[in-house]
Amino acid sequence: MNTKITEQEFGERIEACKEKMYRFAYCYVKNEQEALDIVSEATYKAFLAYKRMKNPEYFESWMGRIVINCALDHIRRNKKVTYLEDNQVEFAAKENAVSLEDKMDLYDALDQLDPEDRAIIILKIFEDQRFKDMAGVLSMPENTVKTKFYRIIEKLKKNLIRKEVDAL
Amino acid sequence: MTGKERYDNIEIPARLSEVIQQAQQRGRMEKRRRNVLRRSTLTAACAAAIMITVNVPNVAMALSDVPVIGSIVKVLQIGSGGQRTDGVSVTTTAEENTLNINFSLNGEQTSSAPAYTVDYKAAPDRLIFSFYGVRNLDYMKLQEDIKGLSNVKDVYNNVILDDSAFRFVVELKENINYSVSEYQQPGYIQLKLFGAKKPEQAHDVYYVRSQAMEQGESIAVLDEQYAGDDSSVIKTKQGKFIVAMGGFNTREEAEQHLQKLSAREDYFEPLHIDHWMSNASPE
Repeated sequence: MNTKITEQEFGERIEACKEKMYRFAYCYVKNEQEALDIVSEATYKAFLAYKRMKNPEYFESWMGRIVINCALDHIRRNKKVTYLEDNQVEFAAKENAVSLEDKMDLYDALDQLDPEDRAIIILKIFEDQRFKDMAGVLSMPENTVKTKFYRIIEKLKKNLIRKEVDAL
Repeated sequence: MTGKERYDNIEIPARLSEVIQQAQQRGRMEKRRRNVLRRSTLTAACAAAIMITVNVPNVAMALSDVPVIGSIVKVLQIGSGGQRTDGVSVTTTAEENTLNINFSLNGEQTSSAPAYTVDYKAAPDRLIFSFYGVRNLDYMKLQEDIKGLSNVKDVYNNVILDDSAFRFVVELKENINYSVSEYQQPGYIQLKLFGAKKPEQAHDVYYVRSQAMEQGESIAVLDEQYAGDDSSVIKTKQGKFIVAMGGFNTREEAEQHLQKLSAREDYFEPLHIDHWMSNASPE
């Protein structure tokens, strides 16, 4: 049974997930032209490789992985990285809030995360994906994804507390 | 506004679709470039074998009895040539055992042929023509012209996964030799067929092949998957199509090849060993 997708199907599937690809890319660079460059590169690479895709039913996960890799390459090439540990920018904290998402604008917080970690926040918080599906996109075991996610959240919380204390 | 809301509200640029289309076109061009490159490499690898097994015609034979219009670029049996173009129309003219393949763009003959490759495969003897950057082609006329050549047994097209390319197969009668000449100013390609000087004895040939399928994208995908393994699409006696690799002298060689292919990660379509006479088509 031939399960490989045709060029026409590839075009249709790319069209169906283009907005998701763009948002994903935009979160990494926060710039329209650079995000379009990443989407363009990801589409080009996917076009050259889609016939080797083992499970076409996971096309979106596969595309997500390519966009992440292209975004990381783009950032490495441009070296516009600020890591959380070096971050001097304070997150906007809200009074009487309970969850991290309420206390902190994670959309802004992305910029202070290690680029490798950003996808985990985007997929979990913004895309509402299950850990199992995230594992497919990130090509890592589900437990590793969970561990990384909670580690990032802890890191953000600690940083937020430190900033609040510093502000006293 | 939460981070998620800001994420959901990221403005989608109007030119996103255009950027995606352009990226796909870039991929298409790169694939085509790789195909031409791969076929050129295969040509070099096959050249020695062809020198021994095929009577290479000389240029004089290729040009004899031909009123030459334009200047000759090359005479070849397998290989590639032409210039990169897009949207070229293809027409044919034929007389006895000479076929001219002409090219035009916006109603005018092009000065050179579009990018093309010519391959030769045995069992059965076939010429495989591929043209890239062509859009308009009267396939019925081409088929009629080629079938009208007295040394041709059959002609059929191969579906390929590139809507700006076209591939067709000319199946030759027994012990027929050929030459392909590329011309420029104007650009055209001329196929000449003539009797081989040293007729070959028919013999058993072993292949690694797929099941027979109807003409369509499934077989095109399979052919592309094994293009690096020198695959080709062959029409069966029943009028269906198979992807086949080899032309091995022994079953053992074919089995070794099948073993190698089946160990690959992308092996999904069951292949098997088959054999038929070098002057026949598969079942």
